[in-house]
Amino acid sequence: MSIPLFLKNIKNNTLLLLVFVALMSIYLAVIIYIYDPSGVGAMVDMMSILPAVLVNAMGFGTIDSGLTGFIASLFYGFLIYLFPMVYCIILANRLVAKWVYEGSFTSLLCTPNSRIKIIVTQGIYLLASIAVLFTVLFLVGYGMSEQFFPGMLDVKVFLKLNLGACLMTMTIGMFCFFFSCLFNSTKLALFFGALIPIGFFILNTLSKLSERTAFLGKFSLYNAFDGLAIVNGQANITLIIGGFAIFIGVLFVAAIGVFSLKRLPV
Amino acid sequence: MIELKDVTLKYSSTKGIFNLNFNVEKGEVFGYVGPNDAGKTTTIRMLMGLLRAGRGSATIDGLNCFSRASAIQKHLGYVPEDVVLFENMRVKEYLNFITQMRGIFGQKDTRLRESLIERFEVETRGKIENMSNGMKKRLAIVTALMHDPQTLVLDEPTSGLDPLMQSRLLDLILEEKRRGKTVLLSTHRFEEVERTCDRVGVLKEGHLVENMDIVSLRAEETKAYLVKFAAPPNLEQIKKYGFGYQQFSQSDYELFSPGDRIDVLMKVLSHEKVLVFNSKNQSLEEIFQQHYQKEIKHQEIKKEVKNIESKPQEEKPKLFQKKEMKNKALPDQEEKVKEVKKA
Repeated sequence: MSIPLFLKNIKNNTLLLLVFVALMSIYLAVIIYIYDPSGVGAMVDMMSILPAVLVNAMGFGTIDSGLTGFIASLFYGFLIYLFPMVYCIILANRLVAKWVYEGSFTSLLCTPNSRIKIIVTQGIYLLASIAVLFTVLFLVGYGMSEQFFPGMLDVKVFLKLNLGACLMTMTIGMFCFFFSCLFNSTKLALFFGALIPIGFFILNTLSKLSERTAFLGKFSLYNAFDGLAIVNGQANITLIIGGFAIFIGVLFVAAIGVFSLKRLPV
Repeated sequence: MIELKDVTLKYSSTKGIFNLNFNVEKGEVFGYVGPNDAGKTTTIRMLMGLLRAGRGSATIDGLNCFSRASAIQKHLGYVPEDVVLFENMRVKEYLNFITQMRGIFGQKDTRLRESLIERFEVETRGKIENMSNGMKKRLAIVTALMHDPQTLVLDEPTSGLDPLMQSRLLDLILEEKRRGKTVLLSTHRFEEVERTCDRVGVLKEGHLVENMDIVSLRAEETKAYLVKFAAPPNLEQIKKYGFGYQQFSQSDYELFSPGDRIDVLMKVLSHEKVLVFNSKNQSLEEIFQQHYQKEIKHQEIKKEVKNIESKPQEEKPKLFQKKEMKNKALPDQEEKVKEVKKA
């Protein structure tokens, strides 16, 4: 890994990270703030106004009465797919394809650093920044819960929830990163980088609509992460984390492979 | 030392570079010339490890240009044709960044860098995005040279520079040459080749059509001089030594001499009273036109073989035509000389 390049990445992309950290933290904080320990009656009432199909699609079908379950269904059920996805698409494009397309990547390669070293640095930055995002989210969630509802948050489960979501986001990020390494133009890199996660998202949403569409979920990566199942103890967290880690590893190696062999544009 | 052996890199059947063979020895400046789109930049980007050659091997100091690119870059400076830097960085920040990327941390010796900045008058305040193209090029030159590399690869380094900076860069190339550096200089301008290079390679449509040292190149070209004599000169003597001439008036002449016989012309003229002696500036086009027009031997052979196979009877007339064409392609000057002589 190249330290100066890593520092440059931090400098270039901190604002982007801050925006997403702020957005998601505020959202999480507000969700915890509106939690009513005496029952989720108001929330359920509100949901009952909306058509059941829509509520199901958004993952708000079952709302757990405990704080951890409440957070899991409202925050780690729907939003956790959208915001980090956009972050991954933008960041992955900025780390490789944008510089390659503009031509400034040449000045990196004309230093005594191999392509592999440079791409590994970029990939590590992507993974590290996602880790930072979820660390902050964990701390915000923990802090808010302790502030307003001391002792009610199941910290262990909340940690698992974050860990699972973090690895899932890293996997999505690696998909985008792979396409960013594969293509020489930002257009193609953005198109495919966005197509895959949005496709996963749509499949996941459709699968929740009815019994007949449930099979679609099998093709979606997002289906592997189910916040409520983790809270209920139905999901095997080791399996989820292990699965995502393998995905991340394979995609990272593939990204390095295609980048180290390709012809860079003139 | 840069070495290319049978390097082929195809974009399509006609675009790319084909079977390139040449060496640039240590302490030598190699001029790499050719029309636009001939494949100069492709060759250079291949040498920089940015493109992978389809066939053949390209090495710098014995290291493969693609697989060992990072090791090569330690002792190499590269000025690209189109300079693209990190626009949002400040100049000092960029120079520090590249220095660190080269593995040099902390305040080491920056004297060379400072002297280069001074020499090329690079504005170090402000952001790169606000700089003109010429300034960016100068910054790229400083970046390429600040680690005192053993090999220099310069892709049209003078384009976009003002004449003063061009001249400074050429001086620098000469200094580096004297220090034993290996230089590959791609250019469009003949003055640069004449001033700095030891050898020239002419590239056309991806094929190297010429690879010769600058002395033989000079010998091939015909130099023209505008001369004004005080008294009618001894034309017999001039003719006897094989020089052509064109008479404008009683005392004004244009003399033609092969590039390698200028000294003889001087001796002949030393017996005359010469008032004015001006050399006619020849552009790159005039001198290189005949080289650019050279058929690519490889393709020619193929075509001829095809002709023989399909229409053996028509082959002869075609070859004659070609010869005639070649005769026509000779420089106008020599025709003029002949005409004058006939008259």
